[in-house]
Amino acid sequence: MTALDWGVLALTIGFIVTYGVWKSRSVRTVDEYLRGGNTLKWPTIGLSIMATQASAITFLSTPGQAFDDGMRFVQFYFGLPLAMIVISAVFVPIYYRLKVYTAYEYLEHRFDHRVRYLGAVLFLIQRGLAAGITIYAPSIILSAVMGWDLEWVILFTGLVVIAYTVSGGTQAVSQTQKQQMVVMMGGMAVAAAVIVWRLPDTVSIPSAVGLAGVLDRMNVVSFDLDMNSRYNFWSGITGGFFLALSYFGTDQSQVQRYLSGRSVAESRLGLIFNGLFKVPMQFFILFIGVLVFVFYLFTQPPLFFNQPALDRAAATEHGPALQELHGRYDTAFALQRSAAESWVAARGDEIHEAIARKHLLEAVSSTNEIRREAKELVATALPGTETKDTDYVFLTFVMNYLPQGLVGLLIAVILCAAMSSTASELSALGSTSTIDLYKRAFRSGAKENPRRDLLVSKGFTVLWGMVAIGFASFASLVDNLIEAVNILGSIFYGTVLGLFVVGFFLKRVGAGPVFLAALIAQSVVAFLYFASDLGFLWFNVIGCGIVVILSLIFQALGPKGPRPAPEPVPGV
Amino acid sequence: MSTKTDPAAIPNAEEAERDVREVAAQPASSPPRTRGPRVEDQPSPPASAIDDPPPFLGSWRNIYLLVLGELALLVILFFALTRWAS
Repeated sequence: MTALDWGVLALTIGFIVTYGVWKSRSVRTVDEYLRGGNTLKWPTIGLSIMATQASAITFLSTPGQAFDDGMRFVQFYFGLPLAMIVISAVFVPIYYRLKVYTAYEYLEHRFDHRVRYLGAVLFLIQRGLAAGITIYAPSIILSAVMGWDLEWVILFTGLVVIAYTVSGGTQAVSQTQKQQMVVMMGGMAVAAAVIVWRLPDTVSIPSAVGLAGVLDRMNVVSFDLDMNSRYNFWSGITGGFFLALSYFGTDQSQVQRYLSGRSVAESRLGLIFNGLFKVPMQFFILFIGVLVFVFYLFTQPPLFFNQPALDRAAATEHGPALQELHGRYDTAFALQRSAAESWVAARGDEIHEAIARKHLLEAVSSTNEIRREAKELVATALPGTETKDTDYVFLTFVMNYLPQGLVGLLIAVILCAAMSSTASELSALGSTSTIDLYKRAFRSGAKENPRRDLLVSKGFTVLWGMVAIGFASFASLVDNLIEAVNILGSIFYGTVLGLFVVGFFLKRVGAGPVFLAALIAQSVVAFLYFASDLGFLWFNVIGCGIVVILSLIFQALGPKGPRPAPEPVPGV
Repeated sequence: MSTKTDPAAIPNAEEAERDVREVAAQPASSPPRTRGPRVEDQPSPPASAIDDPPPFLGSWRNIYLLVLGELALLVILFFALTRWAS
């Protein structure tokens, strides 16, 4: 990175953090710390919701996903707008009516303290681990590509987030996220423009889309019903709906975003904003990945995108074999580029286009085969090294082909995204630990002490920040980072959503049946994760379905008579 | 503080919807109607606050229809793009 890049990076991060701390400087009470004093308007809520979900993984991994697998990942988000409608119409009014700080308080109002603890603990486990991945994911990639020390990147990201989250609570989180979203989307738009500018003059955008289509990267929508396919319309609209309903409706890192709204209407509009713009935003980010793919049809990409790992492998006894592969790769790529140029030239002429298409598919198959051999060599030379390199694709492009200054901006995008998600997570983990565990279990019935509560909330935020940093330091690179976070969520979300669905819609079911049903559902989902090849989105449907059905069965089999009233709920 | 909570009084989806209808039917001068016990020292937002209409399109139903319409349009466009590109 040049001095200009460093300047852009430092100014961007410094301004956002300072702005967030300054805007939330008046936070004095636990209500302001945890719920932002209910002052936020819908644009801030909407951007905050989007920024919480859009972690650094979104900007690093999603373009790589499109590069490798095409656009079909966008179908994952089809259920999200539907979930926004349900949450806006059903969940938000109930949370406001009960004036809860956390989603899990509702579970005690509706059932009992056991169900509340279960919901809160499942959230803490899932989100605590996810917060570690949220910090680790960009750190491992930034450290590898930039040559920075991994531990220092993790520590820097984690400590900055802890500092402003503890300083201003949820208000600081929301205010910084507003600026971070502007930087993130602005940076990605600039990156898209640079990619288009760097395509050969003969390649128009329709030609680029056509090339991507020939090579199966424009697989945006598929209506094939295949239960083992991770992404198709049906899994997106059902599994994606349940995942989004659970994530936005019951995950405190999101619930806390819209509970800080000035009114129900502001919170609802913030959610609707997300429902309207999330799918186009994901399409845009994936399309950038497709453009990078087309760019690399004309400009030779590295044999393996994790360049530091490739260099380490070359220094082993397998170096000569890798050298031989490089030679073959150069020749194969020249043929591939020629085939791509021929296809563009033949476009519109049916017969010539078909011939060029056949040659292009053969050429791409050859280069892919050489890249596969290279990955096998790296795996042999460096046992334990992750050979899936798609998470490095976009950053490699940024580092090698973006002009000075813009590299710093794109690194700022990645760090902003990491910090925005982590801040929401730490804030929510702190709230849940304070409200649902500490105050409920240890201070129930004790005299109110707002100053102590504020300090405890801040203490838990710091503690969870340290846990996230610690987990990030010991994590290892998983198959694909964005999938890892979604898989982790899907394992727990179905069960938690089931608790809320029973609470909202099945009034006859009591605490005992739903508690037992949730324990069984979580065990079944965990078993399916380890013992089956089922697409992970279905875990959300299965977990929720088991809780609902078993709750009804247990309720019907249980003792008859009026349902016992829940225990009194201590206030906050 | 703590308040004994009657399970029948805990709001659920049906009640939230019913409140919307009932409040909409009340004359403008009626005091806002609230239901259920108070679970905090502070009063819950009145039903009228919960049922505030959106600042545009007139009703929440219309807003939700807009979201559904946009999703349907996007799926159709994406499908057309998939077919065209392949």
